[in-house]
Amino acid sequence: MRNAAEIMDGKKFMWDQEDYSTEADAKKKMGKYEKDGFETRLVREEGQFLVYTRRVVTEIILEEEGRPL
Amino acid sequence: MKGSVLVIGAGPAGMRASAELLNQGFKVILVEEKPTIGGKMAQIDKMFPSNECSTCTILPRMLELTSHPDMTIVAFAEVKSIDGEAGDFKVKVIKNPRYVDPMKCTACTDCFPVCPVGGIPMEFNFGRGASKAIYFYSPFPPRKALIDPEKCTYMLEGKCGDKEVPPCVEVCEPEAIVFDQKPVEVKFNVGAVILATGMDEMRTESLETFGYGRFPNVLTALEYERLLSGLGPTGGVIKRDDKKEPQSVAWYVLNNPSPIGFMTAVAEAMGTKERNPDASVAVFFEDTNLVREDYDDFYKKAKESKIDFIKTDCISVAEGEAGNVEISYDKESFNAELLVLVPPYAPTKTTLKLAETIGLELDEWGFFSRTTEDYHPLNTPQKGIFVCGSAQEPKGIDDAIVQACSAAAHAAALLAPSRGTESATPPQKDILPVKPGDEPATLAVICRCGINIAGLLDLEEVVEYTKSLPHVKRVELTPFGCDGVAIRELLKTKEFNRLVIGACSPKTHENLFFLHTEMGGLNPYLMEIVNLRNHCTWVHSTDKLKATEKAKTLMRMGAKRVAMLESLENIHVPVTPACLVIGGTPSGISCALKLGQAGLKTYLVHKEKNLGHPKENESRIVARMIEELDKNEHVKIYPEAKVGRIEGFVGNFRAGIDESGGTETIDIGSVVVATPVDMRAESEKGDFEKDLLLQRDDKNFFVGMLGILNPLDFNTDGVFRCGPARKAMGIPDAIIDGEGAASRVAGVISKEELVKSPTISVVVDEKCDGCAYCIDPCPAQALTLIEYMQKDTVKKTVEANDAICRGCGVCMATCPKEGIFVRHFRPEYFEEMINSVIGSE
Repeated sequence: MRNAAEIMDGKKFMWDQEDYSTEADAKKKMGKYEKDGFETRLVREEGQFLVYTRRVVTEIILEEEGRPL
Repeated sequence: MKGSVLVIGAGPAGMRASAELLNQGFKVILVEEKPTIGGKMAQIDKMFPSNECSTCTILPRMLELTSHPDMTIVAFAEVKSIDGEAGDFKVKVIKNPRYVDPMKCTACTDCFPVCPVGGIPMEFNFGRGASKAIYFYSPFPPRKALIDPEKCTYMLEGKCGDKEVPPCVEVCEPEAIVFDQKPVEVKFNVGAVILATGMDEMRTESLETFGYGRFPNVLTALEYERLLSGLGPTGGVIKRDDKKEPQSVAWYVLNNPSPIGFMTAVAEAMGTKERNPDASVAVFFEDTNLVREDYDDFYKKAKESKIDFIKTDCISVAEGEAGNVEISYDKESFNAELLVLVPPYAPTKTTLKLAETIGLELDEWGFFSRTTEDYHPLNTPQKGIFVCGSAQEPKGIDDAIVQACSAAAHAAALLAPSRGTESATPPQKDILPVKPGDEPATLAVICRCGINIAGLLDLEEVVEYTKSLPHVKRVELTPFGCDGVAIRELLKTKEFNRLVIGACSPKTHENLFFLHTEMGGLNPYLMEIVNLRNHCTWVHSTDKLKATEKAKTLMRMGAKRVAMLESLENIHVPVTPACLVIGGTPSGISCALKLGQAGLKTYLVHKEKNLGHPKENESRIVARMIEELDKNEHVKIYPEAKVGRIEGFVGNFRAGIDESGGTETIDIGSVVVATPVDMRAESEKGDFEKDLLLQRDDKNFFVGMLGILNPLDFNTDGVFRCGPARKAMGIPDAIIDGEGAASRVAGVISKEELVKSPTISVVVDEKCDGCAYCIDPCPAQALTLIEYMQKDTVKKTVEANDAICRGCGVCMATCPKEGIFVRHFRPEYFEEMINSVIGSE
């Protein structure tokens, strides 16, 4: 069972829900995520490579005005 | 050099100095001449100018002190001698006989009803209320019985009535009664001494002039406080000795150079009006002597409460009809059913004795002298002996607290190389492992709380009912649950994996019950407190039947919740052992110097080229401090610099210091704001103020944490304020303020790590969709919205910062999707508790 969230270097990262069989595949995907401004982390687990990402949202726009009921 | 400190006097100043030193890793011996701790603060009802309940404020602090492993409280004792020198004092203390072994007494009170000698006026209540010959001195710790040798017939005559063996001995299961107990001399070796011997009302002949001791209904202010107190002889109902509830009450503030006298009268008059808005209330005074704006604000508020404040040179009194007092003033008169005299303040007998014992000089009023500018106001001529609180001169509780912190900082600086050398090794924890899914086996402990609970509930019915609740294996009735005896002993059997305590408020007792639960070997988060006292007996004191039914319901809810709770572990946060002090004012200078002297890395940032203001530098104390600061290797000074952004949290801040050559980044564990008010114009607001969530009031001072015991704290953990940052003050007080802040800082950065409660927010990523409704309302700014990739789609969730989350639950209340909760307060717990009440389980 993979952990959907991992704390790494004191920060919360989320698994992208993919298993990569090679490190090269995982790193390729990481590069793509990084181009979009995500921080990434690579985790090896049970022979598979897992990619975790995060990107801090600096401008928050609420879905609706006011506090939801 | 010793790593322990002797504190003499267990009032608010002595208690606070002790707590500060304990927090910094020193061992403390606290000697108190009375049988219980708390001093005058334990006797008063409410504190000015905040109008906080004194008992509610001080009791949790007392219990924390009594439970600390590095604390030794020697109550009912006096200091016989102090020899030696700073760093190595040899102290002899005489413990007075209680005729009850405190190590054996469990405070069960079984001896009280069987004692045939009753009606003894209670000293703690100034003669009001009655006790037996074996009794508790006050409702406060250490809660151990004692015998009055001048009233006990067995001690006077060798027989108790016609019995050779006194009934108290017969019923005392732990065999605690020792009639032949003698005074015992105990010796301590300490590195420093703090004198916190407080003040008393001056009992001069002039009181008699105004009817005291001549007329039945003339009291002193301190005596009146006992009538106002909920723990007093009348349970907080104002009554004369003839049981009449007075409809007109007057105060006369006798010639009193301190504002404390007038403020006492104002607070008591307000307390009277709160209880009886129709009462006719008047305060006669010669001068207010108000020197603080907040005192003046309190006075203004009182004037709005229909209290007559009458300025007069003098009054005269005569006995009126029905025990009333006829007051004449300025050709007018006031008929008071009760007159309260507010005398000037005098040093305590302990102060006078100590001055002789140690050889210290007293001022013309008998207080420890406020020395000339050559000396620090809290130093005594004897190095290593410091004074604080009202032993120095009469003052309000918040000022006494600041001085106590300052005195602690002095002792800590002196003994810095020995910090931690005498601390007790934390006991090995033997905690019962409890996994989710384990069958709950609940122990219920119900506290009688003297008569607070037992006197107003049908406790037998509550006990029998609790026995019938699911998972409850045993119900134990105990005289005082807060002593922890029953809790610890029963949990140590390892037969129970849950604990529900029917007692008082978690607000005052949660930390203590946590400690007892852990000492009993159970994870403290598997314990639930049911507030039988505040929620049942105090608010429904006139309806025993309904209060009992409510108590049963609350116990049912508590038993339900505790069965669902999970073991939780505390969070440990590492600490950067350094501090940033902002502002080169006398407060900033004294704070930085005291931290440097304590061996703690400190950065002092100020805008000017030179430290202090030219006028301030004329003060010899400030000039001397600047000289010492320049030489201190632990302090780095940044002149002509400004603090920029500060990020992080308690124990781990990072600050930018802007200098002409660029910005330097420093890591610190704590921050002190000591900036002068004239440098805080709106346009000059530093970025750090916003970063640290600091606020200012309408006079441009920084707003601190609420509560009279927190004058130097901000609401942001690890950030403190002092001197001109919090209010206008003179140089000596500003220096003391800065040193007090240094003590607060040292409590944070002298530790390797901070221990934090695990009751913090947890994000449920499966439910959180990143709607962000929780982000802005979080008062600690502990939540961050983050995006992440999931199967080539951008998703959102929330990140909670464990170190700064306070577990307030605002996020949980805001979330529409149950996507975040506070550990220990899961929504399903509340749901089940409510179901247990409405019967839909």
